Amino acid sequence: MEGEFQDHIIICGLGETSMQIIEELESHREKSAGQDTIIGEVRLREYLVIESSKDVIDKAVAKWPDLFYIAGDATDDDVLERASIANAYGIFPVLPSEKDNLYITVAARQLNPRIRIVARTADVVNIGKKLFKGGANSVISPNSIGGLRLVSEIARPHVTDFLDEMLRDKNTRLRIAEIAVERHSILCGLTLREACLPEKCGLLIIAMKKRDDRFYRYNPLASARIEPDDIIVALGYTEQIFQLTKLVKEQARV
Amino acid sequence: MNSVIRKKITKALALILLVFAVGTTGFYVLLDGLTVIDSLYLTVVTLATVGYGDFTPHLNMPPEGNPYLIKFFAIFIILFGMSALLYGIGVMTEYIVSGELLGERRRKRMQKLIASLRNHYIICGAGETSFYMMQELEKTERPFVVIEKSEERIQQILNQFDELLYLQGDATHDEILEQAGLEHATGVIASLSDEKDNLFVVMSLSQKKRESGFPFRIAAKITHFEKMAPKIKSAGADCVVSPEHISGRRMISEMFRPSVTTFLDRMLKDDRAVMRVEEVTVSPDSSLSGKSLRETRISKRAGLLIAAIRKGGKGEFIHNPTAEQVIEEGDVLIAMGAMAHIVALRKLTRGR
Repeated sequence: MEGEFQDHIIICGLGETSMQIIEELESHREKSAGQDTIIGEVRLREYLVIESSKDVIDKAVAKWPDLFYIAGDATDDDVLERASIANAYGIFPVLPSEKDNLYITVAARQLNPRIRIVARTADVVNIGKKLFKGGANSVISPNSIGGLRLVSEIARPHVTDFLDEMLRDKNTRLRIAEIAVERHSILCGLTLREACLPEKCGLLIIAMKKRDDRFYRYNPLASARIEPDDIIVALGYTEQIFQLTKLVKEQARV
Repeated sequence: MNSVIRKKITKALALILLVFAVGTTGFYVLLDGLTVIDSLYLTVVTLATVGYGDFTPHLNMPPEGNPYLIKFFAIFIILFGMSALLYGIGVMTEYIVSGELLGERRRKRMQKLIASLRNHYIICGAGETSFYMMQELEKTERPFVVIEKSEERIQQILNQFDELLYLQGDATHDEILEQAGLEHATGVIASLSDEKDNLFVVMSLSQKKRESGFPFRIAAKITHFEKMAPKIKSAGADCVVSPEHISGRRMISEMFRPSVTTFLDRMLKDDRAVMRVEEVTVSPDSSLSGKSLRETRISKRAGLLIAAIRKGGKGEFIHNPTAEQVIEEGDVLIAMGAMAHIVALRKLTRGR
């Protein structure tokens, strides 16, 4: 099966996190029913798992009979090459050992400069920094997001529903969008009050970022002026956001 | 150990060493036929007021020695040595007693503070995940108590939080949950490292809730989602989170659609702006109840964005509510803004 893979995902280690990763990938595949599986803007061809313990593999295969796997050590470069890492779209280093994950991150970046690496660590402060330095695109800490999630669920259940609806639910069309203001847009030079965006499009302006800003300015004042290359972050329904995009693109008649 | 006591202890030890040194040297020089060890031994025997009599200044006095000189030296060593020893004992007693008294006083004060808590959260277990929970609760100005068995772990956490309220003990014991103010708590999070202990805590909590009618919610952290989630839910947990499980989901998002999550994520993690998405429930006493959003002037007064309203706290959200939207008691407002503004809104909705 080696060598056939292209734009695929490699999952290193079969633990609790990888099980959930596979679960998610499978649910996307089911939804697309025979068609190409598209997640976000990415077409997913295949994914495969590298795991050294035969017992763990057997359990997973019992659940997903068609699972592609390589029985071996993911910290072995040969194994990574057998997984066609050079052609892969992304890799999840999710082994129990922090050192192994760091090693895989560095090795993956070397073997494939374009690969997307999403790693996991228990220690965001120390190991997290190293993972980023080693080439990870994103680092997830179960403790941190688990802790935040628990607090959210118990202290603000409505916010949890609200955000879930926004981020996950396919049926509601509520979205957060970042829109860049074009050079000749009719909005340029107006203050937020004059632009009347909430009135015109019915959406909510959450934040703005000026060209030279490194950070967002949340909840901008009505007197804030819109200039070319500003980024406007808005919360609204998809059609409202579409309207805003149109407005931003509309060019002033010179 | 504070520096004053440390100085006193050093001084006492130095004095005692000095007495031994002077005593040993003096006896060695003044008396006949004693080795250095014999002289040290004589000094110790003298200071301990034992006086075996095998060596004495009297018996071992050399024929040509000055008897007065030796007697004066012995008097000096006895008086000076006794004082040094008594001083040392005094300092040690002070250290032990004051340390315990201080600890006792601190414990009493903390118990009082914990007893006065209202609408607070109780965290069982102070592991890594709990650390992030405490950070978030502190940031959003929600009071909490943490229950932890290990003294060492408590010390570690004390270094990270200024005004940490904690109880040292085993959360699987009912009494300690009572002490943490279960009656007035808004929520309890079971986050012990052992899954079986966690299940046990959830079971005793939900039993307590049934018997007493206290309104707290129960959340539980688990590791093995498939195995534990059904069990801990049927035991009575209102919400169950597996950090490993949700990281799987999150990693998929990060892999395929990073732009969707990043904005919210950055917003929540941004330490300078501390923009938060929070919820408030409008109480019957609130001055906001019965007014339209425009009339409440929330966005002007509190500098907040109201992203959604959930009527009566149930069902569909009204997204991006208009200025004419009327707020009634029991409504839940989803607000975005700086934490200070959200705290101000909480006060408004809570009413008098």
